[in-house]
Amino acid sequence: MSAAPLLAALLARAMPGLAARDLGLPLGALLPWLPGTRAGTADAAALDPAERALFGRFRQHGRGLLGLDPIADAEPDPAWEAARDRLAWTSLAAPVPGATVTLVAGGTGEAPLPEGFGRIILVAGRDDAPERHDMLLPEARLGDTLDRLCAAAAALAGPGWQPGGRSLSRRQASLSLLVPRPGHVPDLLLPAAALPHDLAVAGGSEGLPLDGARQVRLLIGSLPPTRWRLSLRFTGAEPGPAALFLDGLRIPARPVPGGLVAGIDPPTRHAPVLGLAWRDGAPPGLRLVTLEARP
Amino acid sequence: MDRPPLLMVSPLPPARNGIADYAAALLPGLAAHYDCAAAGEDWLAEAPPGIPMVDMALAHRLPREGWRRLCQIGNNPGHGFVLQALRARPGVTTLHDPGLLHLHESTGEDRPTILAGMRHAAPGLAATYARHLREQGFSTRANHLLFDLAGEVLARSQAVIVHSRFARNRLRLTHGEAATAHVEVIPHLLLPATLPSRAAARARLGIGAEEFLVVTAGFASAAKRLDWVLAALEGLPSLRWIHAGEVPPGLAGRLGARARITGHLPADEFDAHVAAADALVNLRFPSTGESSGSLARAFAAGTCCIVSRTGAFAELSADAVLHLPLAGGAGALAEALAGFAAAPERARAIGAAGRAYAETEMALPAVAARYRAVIEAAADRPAAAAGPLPPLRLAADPRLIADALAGRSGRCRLRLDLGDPDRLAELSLAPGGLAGALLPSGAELRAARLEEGALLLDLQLPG
Repeated sequence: MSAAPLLAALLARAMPGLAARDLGLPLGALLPWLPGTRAGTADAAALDPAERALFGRFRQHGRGLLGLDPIADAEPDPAWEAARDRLAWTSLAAPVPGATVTLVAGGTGEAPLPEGFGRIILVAGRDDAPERHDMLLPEARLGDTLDRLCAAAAALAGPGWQPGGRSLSRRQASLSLLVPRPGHVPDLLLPAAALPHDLAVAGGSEGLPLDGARQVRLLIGSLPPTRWRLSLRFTGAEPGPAALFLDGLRIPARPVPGGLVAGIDPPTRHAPVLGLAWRDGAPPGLRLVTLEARP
Repeated sequence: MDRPPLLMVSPLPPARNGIADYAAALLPGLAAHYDCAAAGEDWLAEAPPGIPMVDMALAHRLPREGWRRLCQIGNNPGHGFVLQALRARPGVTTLHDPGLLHLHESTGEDRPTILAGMRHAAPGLAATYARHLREQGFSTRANHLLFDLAGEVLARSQAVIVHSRFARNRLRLTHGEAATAHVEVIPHLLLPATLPSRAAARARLGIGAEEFLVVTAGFASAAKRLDWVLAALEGLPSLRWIHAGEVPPGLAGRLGARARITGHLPADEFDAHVAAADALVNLRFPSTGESSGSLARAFAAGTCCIVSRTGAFAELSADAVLHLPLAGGAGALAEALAGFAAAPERARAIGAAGRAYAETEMALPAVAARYRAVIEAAADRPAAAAGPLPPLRLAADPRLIADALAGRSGRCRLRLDLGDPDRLAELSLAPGGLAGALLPSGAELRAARLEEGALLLDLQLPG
């Protein structure tokens, strides 16, 4: 899903104040690229039981991931409810209840449009490997949304980019945004406390409190398939003899003042899980502030 | 040659249990046959060099297909994750203790699960002897002998490995021929560590060459009969006694007055104590057929072993150990120790014979080859299907229930929080009863029960 960073940039520009839910786990393609995105799954029953058990461990902003626990899903979500644009990213070809915009990864194929809904076919990504995603939204909002997307695409476009959009019918439109190789793969800066993790405490603007923790998992979401240089920034103390893990296996990491640096080749079929472990617990006062990834 | 992948699910050092040491010792032998990885709860556990350690929660993401699984399970809370892993995905299991009640109790298994395990193994016994647990919520020591709770492990494993015929027979008598047809015996492992010589170990521990040293080892459970050792040594004040391991507080005072208690030791210090000993005393009563890592270390060191003639120990060659009768155990032990102290060369001869026996029967390459044979024979053998999905937790509200069940099919379990206990009466008296009041049309109620203020419903959904 190499187009996810590009689509995230497009959506963020076209829909300021957007509240987003990435219901595409185990992939989590949108999760790292739109700040504040809540993670979850649209089809928990289809998950491998081991993946379902894994995601059941995580909490994000103090709440369980979406789609795994009906009680947690039913809890109020003021940020979502108050947003004008509520976008859900899913692989299922049907509008997500409560969302004003459903983005169907991979497109809706031959599925008929639900009554009252319109569709914008998005063709985006690298010009030699474009990806299709379909945006389902109320028919009445189709024109306005297409205009905003087209304006955003034009504003984002750099040298060699090919933006374009047009209305196909009253209920259908298309928008393309193609980018020359190597594609749009920007640097990534993630506030640690915004990510799904399996600590008992939620964390906040000062970071994720790790004081005394022996092991912690973080779900960072999918990264396009290339080698990334990952930097973890801490505050409150030096991380000490921390071990870094990717999808459960230890990887080499180099300590730097206030942080850890590692090179990673992220998996392509699921959102990687980053792990941190200390034999005797994390140093007192230690907080993980950010994760930075550079291609 | 491309070796198939094998995932060992087990605690590993520095976990303080003998099974962790066993797993660490076995892995290099298995690596001759398999591309091994180890999975556990402690990501920093010490797998042998060249064998990656993986977070158990992410083991399913390991690259490659066709992973064989080998679970090492024992009767203490350090193996709770192994039981969970076996429930999630079947594999071959080494059952180090045929009795697993303590594991279930100490890892927070709920009472209905434990009672179901008791009924599964011995329905008649469970009706009478599980009464205290069923009615008052406490478990008696007798329960640990009467109920092994191994039925689930037997059912979920493609094959089960035990270390003695005693253990296999005990399982067979409890669970029947059919449920135990896949149980194989592989002797315990001669740990490949190089133990120090007696002289080097004594120099390290500050023990004189002429002193007669008796060592007991491991966690001092009641079944290890340190009370008999204490009684035996009362009349032998010149013999030095060290307990290399932990002792429960209730026993520490009495024992500490006669023996030096080391507490838990790192592996190299533990080895030094075993190697320095003139006799390792390793008694059991009652025995559940458990195996002993300290005995394997003593064999490796050539230390004379004194064991009870019971359970798995009774199967050891009479030349390799000194067997003591269960009746009059303390007296027999005193007599044996006095004899060895008077003629230490007799103890050394038994130690040498024990080492020779172990090098034949328990050597790593031979044991690993037997593991491979069992694992490969079981590779395509089906085990019991995974259990039902964890229950959906909901309030007892028909709208929420309908939303949660929308799009689901087949078996499903709901756990409904009732809040007010009177709510159950209301629901039961509603037109159409409980099912009519709560369930969407098409959902068939198969079973219902109350559990800790919640209502558990097993459903069959259409589709």
